[in-house]
Amino acid sequence: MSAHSLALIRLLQVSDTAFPSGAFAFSSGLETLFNEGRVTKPEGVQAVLAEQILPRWASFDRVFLHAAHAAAGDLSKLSEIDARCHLQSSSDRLAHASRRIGRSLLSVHARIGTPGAAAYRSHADQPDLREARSYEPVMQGLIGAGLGLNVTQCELGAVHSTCMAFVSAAVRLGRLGAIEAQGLLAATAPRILATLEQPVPQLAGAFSPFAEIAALRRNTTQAVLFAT
Amino acid sequence: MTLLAPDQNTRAPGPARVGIGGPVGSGKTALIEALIPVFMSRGVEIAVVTNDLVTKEDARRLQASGLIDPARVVAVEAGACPHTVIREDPTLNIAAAEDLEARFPGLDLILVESGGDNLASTFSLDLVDWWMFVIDVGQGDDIPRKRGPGIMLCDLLVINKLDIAPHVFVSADAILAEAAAVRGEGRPVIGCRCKGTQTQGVSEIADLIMRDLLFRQVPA
Ligand SMILES: Nc1nc2c(ncn2[C@@H]2O[C@H](COP(=O)(O)OP(=O)(O)OP(=O)(O)O)[C@@H](O)[C@H]2O)c(=O)[nH]1
Ligand SMILES: [Mg+2]
Repeated sequence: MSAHSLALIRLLQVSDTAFPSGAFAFSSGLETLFNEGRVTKPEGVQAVLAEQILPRWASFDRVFLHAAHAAAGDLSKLSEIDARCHLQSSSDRLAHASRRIGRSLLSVHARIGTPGAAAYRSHADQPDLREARSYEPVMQGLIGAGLGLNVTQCELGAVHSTCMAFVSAAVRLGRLGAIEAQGLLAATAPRILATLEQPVPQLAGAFSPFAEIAALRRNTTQAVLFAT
Repeated sequence: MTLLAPDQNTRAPGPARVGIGGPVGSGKTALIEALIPVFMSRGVEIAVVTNDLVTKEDARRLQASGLIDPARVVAVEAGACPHTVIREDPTLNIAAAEDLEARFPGLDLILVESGGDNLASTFSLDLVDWWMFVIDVGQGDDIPRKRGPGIMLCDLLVINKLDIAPHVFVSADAILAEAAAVRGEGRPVIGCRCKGTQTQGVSEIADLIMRDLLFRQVPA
């Protein structure tokens, strides 16, 4: 019981939006979708979350999170999983975002002494690896293991962060009320559960073109608030 | 109880990091543009991180200025929250500063410009070693009296655009005196003009940064 509760205490801590992770500067294409008028209503935000963001997480990020959680402690294996994530990331901008968030997480956990974080940071800091390692799901798996979370707790935290980052971007873009956002998350909870109840795919793959292309199409001449 | 892992807590003695905060349009970027040549003439190696609210405008302006190698200027997006990137979640800025450090090993100083924000914005000391808050006379002579955390807690308060004080019915001497009184003994306030042919206060600001930060590792 007490080991379980301790893991939950840590899970709550690191899943809180007050935990500095850098994730707040990324909207996963939502900003572009708003600016282009492709998403206008809260229902649209919910649809993108349920049909694009969650499936992408489940078919891509989740696979790497599981692999990294299982490999925690084995630096060369982790690096290999990270490299695979790098090679399989087809959207350059989303890959860059994932690395930046992963690096932020790694840096914070190294500072607060989460087991495994500092060692991996030294590894990923090598000049030739800086642009090719520290992907968010790999870091979540490695850090989750370091915090004593089991893989289910670890993926709960990760999927929660993904949904929160997306919905809170909509709030900060002024398109969704703060309370409306919570209603949306409540309504999406069964969908999240269903996603987690699916078996983890053997191979990672992502097909969420609506959000991915929006993230790529991000207009840099126009005013933009988010990095994706 | 140790709060931080002992060997992670202390940063390697890398470049000093200076934050520059303040309301929109107070002259933060203009001050950086004025400080760059002063530091360069003193042989101080610098780089800049900007946190533009909506574009990479400030970073582009500095990159195009011809004052500094464009590779030494990086922009970090603030996700519509200029105070978050410097206070609640400074991790993206920390990562940007670490990247600059890795790419330019001889750096002495990294300036971090916050996106324009309100009088309550402050810098996390996880991100910077020392920070200044830039306001200008055109924002009203009552600003120091409002005693926002930005004004009260910064290491240096800069009151910019002294040249336009007469045009906005502000007495430069009075606003400087009031700011000094509000902040109290030993808390510096410098009046400044960083645009135009005759600048004012810029080298004093550079002096203070050098005294407080760049000489700290010199053995006695
Ligand atoms: N007269 C006068 N104008 C100044 C001075 N310093 C800056 N300005 C002008 O003030 C305006 C805003 O200056 P910026 O340097 O862009 O201000 P900022 O604080 O970086 O603005 P944001 O990054 O948008 O918050 C520009 O038009 C500058 O030319 C000064 O000392 N005197
Ligand atoms: Mg500026």
